[in-house]
Amino acid sequence: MIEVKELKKSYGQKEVVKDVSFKLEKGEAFGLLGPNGAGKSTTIAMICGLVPYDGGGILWGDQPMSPSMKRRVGIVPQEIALYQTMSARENLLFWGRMYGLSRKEAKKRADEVLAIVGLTERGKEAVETFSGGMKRRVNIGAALMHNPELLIMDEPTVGIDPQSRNHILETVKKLNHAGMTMIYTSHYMEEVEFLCDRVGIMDHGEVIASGTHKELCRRLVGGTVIRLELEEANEAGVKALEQLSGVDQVTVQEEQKVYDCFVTSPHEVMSGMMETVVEYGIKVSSMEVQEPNLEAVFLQLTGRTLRD
Amino acid sequence: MFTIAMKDVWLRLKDKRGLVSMLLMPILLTAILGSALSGNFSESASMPDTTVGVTFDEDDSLSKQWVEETMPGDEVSVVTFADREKVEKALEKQEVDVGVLLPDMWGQKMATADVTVLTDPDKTMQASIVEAVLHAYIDRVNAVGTTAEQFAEELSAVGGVEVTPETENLVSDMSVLAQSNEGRVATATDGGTSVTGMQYYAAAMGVMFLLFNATIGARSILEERHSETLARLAMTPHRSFHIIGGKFIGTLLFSLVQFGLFLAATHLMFQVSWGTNLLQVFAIGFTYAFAVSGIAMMLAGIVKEEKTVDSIGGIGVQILALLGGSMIPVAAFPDAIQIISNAIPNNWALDQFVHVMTGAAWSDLILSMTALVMVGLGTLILGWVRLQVR
Repeated sequence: MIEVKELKKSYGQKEVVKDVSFKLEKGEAFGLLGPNGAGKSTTIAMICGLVPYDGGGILWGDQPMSPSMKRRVGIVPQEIALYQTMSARENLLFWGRMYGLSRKEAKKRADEVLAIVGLTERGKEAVETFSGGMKRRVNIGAALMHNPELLIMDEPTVGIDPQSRNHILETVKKLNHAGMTMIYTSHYMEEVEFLCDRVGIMDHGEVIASGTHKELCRRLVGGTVIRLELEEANEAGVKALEQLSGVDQVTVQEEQKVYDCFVTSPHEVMSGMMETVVEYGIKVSSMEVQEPNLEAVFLQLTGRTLRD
Repeated sequence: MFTIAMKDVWLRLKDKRGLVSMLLMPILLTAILGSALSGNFSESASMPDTTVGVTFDEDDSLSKQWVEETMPGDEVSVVTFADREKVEKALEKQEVDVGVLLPDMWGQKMATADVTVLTDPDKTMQASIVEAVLHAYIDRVNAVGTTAEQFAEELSAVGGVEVTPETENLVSDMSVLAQSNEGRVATATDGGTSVTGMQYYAAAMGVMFLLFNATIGARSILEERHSETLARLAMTPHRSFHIIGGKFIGTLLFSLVQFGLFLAATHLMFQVSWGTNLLQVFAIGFTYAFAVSGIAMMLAGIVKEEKTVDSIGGIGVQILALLGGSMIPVAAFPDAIQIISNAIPNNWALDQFVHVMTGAAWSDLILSMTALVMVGLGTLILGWVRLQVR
């Protein structure tokens, strides 16, 4: 349905998007996962036509993306881009009209969208009186007004309470199940895991890995992560841990106090680890065993967490 | 384009604080300035009530004529004193506003004699007017004298004519001219009729507050940029000229709504007559609002911060309003400032409104209206180009 081919963007000498490519089939949900500054929003801005790209291209079917094709795309920007003194309904009507709906169509659709985002009863209230989560829901609603074929969401859940976040994720999931194709960017691994069929992991302007959730986790050397948080750094102890049989890789974060040990079989490694901890006097404040996930994939690929 | 424009008008109508300042403030200021300064505009009260204290030679007929016939009027009364000291005392006690000391036999040496005018520092305007009347009288008498002299010389040259009676007849006729009050009262007139203070300040405040739309329109674009709604608009299928055009029309529509309401309010509340041709009033209002809306787009293209626009709104508009005659009529400014004023669009608009109030033909208005449209178009294009670059 849409194909992004070797997209490039530089600001001065700084290359912010480097040959980003991915392809989406109709009805598919594709996630762009990466930390802040990875180049996700710039990629989205280029797809939306807001930022011109320096190289590569975007194809809708086999045609280059044109302004008229924007009618088929709904965009949920990262910021709450709404008119605060207007009511939720007025905002929806306005954005519907901007996408070519007639006044009558917009009115009908606004009621439907208010129901989708769960704000029917508060539709007449000014957006400025809403909580952050409710504003985010209207922000999404505005992109749904013209019933787009492709919905692009750029970190739509930033800074909201868990209840609103869940509501949004459920809504988006339903839309996707109803056949809407979507691109979803986030630095929350759980959201992307929950919503997306395929994921592209971005860092420093590049897609460093892409595939389904399973495919990505399969790439993980030592699928399980045992995370140790220490009270104080202990270099010798960590070296000893790295030497343990069954430990494939150790990454260090937060001033040498958080260690992620990638292991294939946690049961076999655990006893050896305990012995090393005691032997080297490593003061452990907490220990956690994490099943293979996208966070671990990102960690192994970049040596950093998504929230760094 | 129209959807964006209507949204902008709706947003501004919802802003109660903005509405108060854009609709009620001009009405209030018109009421205050129009009432307080109406004296400067009415024909009968162009000079405040003034008492002039005079010493003069009672045996001199021209001095007597000036004191008893030329100077007194509806607003001016003349009190005579025996000597300078008494005039000064009366001035000190504020029994008189201006003192005039006419020398003995002033009428015979009018061209060369010095007349002393004693001035109360607080009443310089009255003193200036008395001086002006005095000079005008001297000029007229001198003109009569010179003409009579010339007339007598010509008669003598012809011969066979009694020079003395003929010259006396002429001087008698011309003394009427010397006594004339022409030029004594300065009235604020334009064309055939004068405008009242309320009329002038209704037009002046209307023009000034319409000018605020330049900063409000610019601010609206910068706010949209700040809140990312402008970016969201740019992601819709509409092209940039639709968006800028929508913002332009929004500013224009609100300006017209504001102007229409102000027009109705000043007419109904203060019985301000905007002239007999309402179509002309609307034509000027429209072209001026068009220029202001263009300036708004240009400002949005040039300025990056909302605070800068606020400063321009606070100071820049006031300066333009002052130079454009919204506070004090431009005629009261020195010539150099009047030249600057003539280059300011709000002055053109105010001038044209006053023209219409006093009765103007379409041909008198075309040039200014064309200039206003050109300003609007030029600034709109400039703003659009700059905003696209951004």
